[in-house]
Amino acid sequence: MDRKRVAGPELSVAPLIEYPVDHKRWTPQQEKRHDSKRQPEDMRPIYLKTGLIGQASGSAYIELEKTKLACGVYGPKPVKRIGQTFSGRGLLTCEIKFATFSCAKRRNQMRDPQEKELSQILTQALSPAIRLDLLPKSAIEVYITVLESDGLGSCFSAAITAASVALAHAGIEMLDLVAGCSASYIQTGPARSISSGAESIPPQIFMDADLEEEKYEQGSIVLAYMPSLNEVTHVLQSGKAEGSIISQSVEHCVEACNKIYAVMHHALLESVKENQTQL
Amino acid sequence: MSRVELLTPEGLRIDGRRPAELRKITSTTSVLSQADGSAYLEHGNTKVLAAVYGPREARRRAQVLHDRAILNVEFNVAPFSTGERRRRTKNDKRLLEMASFVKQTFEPVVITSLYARSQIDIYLQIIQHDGGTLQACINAATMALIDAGIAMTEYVCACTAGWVESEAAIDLNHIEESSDTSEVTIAMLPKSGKITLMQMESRLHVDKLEEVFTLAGEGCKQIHEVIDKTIRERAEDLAKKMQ
Amino acid sequence: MPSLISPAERDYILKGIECNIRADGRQRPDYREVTLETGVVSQTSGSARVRIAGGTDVLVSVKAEIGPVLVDPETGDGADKGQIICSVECAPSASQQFEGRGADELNNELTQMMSRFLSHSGPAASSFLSTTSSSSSSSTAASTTAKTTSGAGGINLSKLCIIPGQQCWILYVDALVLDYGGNLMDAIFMGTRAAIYDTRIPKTEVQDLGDGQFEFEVLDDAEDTEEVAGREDMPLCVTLNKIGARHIVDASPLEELCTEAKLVVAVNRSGELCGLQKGHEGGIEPSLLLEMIQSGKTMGQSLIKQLDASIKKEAESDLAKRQRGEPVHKLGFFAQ
Repeated sequence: MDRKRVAGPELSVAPLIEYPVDHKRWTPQQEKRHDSKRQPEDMRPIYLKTGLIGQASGSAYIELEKTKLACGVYGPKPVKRIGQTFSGRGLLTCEIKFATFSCAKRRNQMRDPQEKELSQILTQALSPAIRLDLLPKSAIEVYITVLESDGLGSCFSAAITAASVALAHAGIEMLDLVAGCSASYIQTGPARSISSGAESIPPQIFMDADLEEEKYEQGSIVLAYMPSLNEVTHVLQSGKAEGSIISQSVEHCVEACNKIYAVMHHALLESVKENQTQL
Repeated sequence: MSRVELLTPEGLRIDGRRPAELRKITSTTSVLSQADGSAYLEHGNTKVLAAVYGPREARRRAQVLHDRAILNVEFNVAPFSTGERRRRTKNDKRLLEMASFVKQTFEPVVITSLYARSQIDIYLQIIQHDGGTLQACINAATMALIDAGIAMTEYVCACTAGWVESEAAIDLNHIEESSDTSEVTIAMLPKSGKITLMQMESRLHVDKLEEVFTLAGEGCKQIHEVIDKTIRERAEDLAKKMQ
Repeated sequence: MPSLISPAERDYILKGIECNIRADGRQRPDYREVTLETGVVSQTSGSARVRIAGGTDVLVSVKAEIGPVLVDPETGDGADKGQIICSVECAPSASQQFEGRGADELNNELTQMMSRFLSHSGPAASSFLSTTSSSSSSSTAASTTAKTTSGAGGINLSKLCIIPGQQCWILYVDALVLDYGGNLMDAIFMGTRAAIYDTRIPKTEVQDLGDGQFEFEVLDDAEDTEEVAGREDMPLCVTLNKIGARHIVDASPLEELCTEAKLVVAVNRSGELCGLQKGHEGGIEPSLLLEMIQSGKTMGQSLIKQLDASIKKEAESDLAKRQRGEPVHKLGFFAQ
């Protein structure tokens, strides 16, 4: 019972949105993508800037058109827990929180199991890149707040990207920056009947799908990749897909991660230049 | 709604038993690989798994006793154990109460002074629930403690008894428990006849108390024989394998 | 149960895997012996118990209950589908590190992974139909419906619906980990597949009272039940652990402590991948990743075949016993 917050009535229903008569919802059958500017293999333009949060050791803010999230990194700081055994490696904790207004349906203030799992996955995606063995008895905390979510896959990959940039901004030694990107498999065009024996058209790979496109997806994949080391630090795929589609999507994602890497570099160099001019 | 007849005119209960008859008890020990001692007990349709870890280093330094071991009991009820699926949180008051009962039952029996500054954990997992869970848990815990090789003065055997319609009966099942019968759970040390736990939640007339009590004591002795037989068989088995 | 591993032990395991010899004598792609039994818990719609030699013991139960339909407010999707709700719980008796709140994180991780692999649903069926029916033949529309009503778990959710828009069957899949000996995910999925095979849902009779009102009755006949539609397409998962430069299957607890990266591959019997998730704190090269996916896929498919064969054998022998009038004894925990 959270007495500080005034909760709405217990039974509340989202309002029904009446679309005008000529409003056409996007479907995969249409030739173009939802925002009609991109090709299936194009990602959304990224806006990435560091130094958003003054108090944090490092911070980053990322926007992928409608997906917006902020990341703050605190540390390295000493581990406070008394019962904790000595650990030669640093402890990385990540927490991801969706703001209550970030999704179409209002989210709970308390962390729900999905957020807890995403936090765990984020830790696993970032750990291979950080030199934790240089920070014994210390803890690094990464906090991500999602302000607006336009597609769960893109949200998560943006979180990985922002977290790596924030860690670099905080001056924590890393082996490489981790870039994250997502893709969805969407069936375009009608599938031919299975009974006729003909092969159905394989689903098309749409890079960086947004919320409307995700509604039609048969599966999705999120990949976190370290370009200089050529190592995948995390892969998460859900939904049914053939093996060939998966290998194709992994290759596409790796290419996209290389492009994102350039953007991350650029943002970090900008922040260094700013600091120089300030000094 | 027709009233369920708990006792037929011939004196048979719902599942065809006589009032002073126990359900079929089957048990075995050493079922888990990670626990120091474990036991699985089936009391009719009630299935319970007990695991004992210990003596081991105490988790909470503040609670360590310098001359004795501390006993820690945890209950876990599987969501599919009752008729309708229900998830019970770990902090359910009822489960915590039952856990403290089991702890009180074993504290005088386990020779804790032999294991100073350590902790003995008893984990009870209820897989299927058909009445008499507390008694099954205590019996399973006894077997698990013996399997773990922890020193005890005696076996602890538990049995429920109650007043079903017009007769005293032992080992009540779920249907009998949920209807308006009084129920007593007794945990007893069979050789010395001492009682370490007595628990009752309903109303029972004082005149009937003695009858119910003696019947429960008889039941405990019967259970003791069954459990003892299983443990001796398992020990012989182990001895044979070592030769 | 060690939660620490000494550098000497780690080195021993690492070097052994390089030479294709594991600590217990297996080779890299070898599985331990798996024992499986269905129908162990009587108050459920279906249940199974899986034991991997060396310690892992998982009990999975499926309970079918009636509940309201879950409708997505935006798309209107889900009005004609049933639901599958999964949960995984690690009993504190399973391992020293699971006492108190220790198992919470692991429970959450396994539950989310399980629900992702089993109930990721396809694209919204209703809006799909409205656009395809105008441009293609009715047979095509019917086939797209069939494709989209099943989740990635293969189970046909629309068959679980009793009254569209109101009531449906909800399958609660609960997995209980009783003993920890490494490789939990594989055991949980094997148990789930066997339990769903064993599940029998009572038939329902729907009466149309007119005016949009429906009434239904659950037939109480123990013999007149139906099986879960689409259960052959349920996926199985294979966990591959990368240690050093090689990868192994079915890791024991010590090997799991040495793992740099873990990949869980879920595959169904037609070779489609139903899910992929990486765990632990290390990286994998893309080429090695694709190789691991490939070997996981082949192994998964052969596992499904073996599992189906043994479940069928058990079901047949049970049926034969019943026909002869012999009681069917389930060994449960008394199996040695």
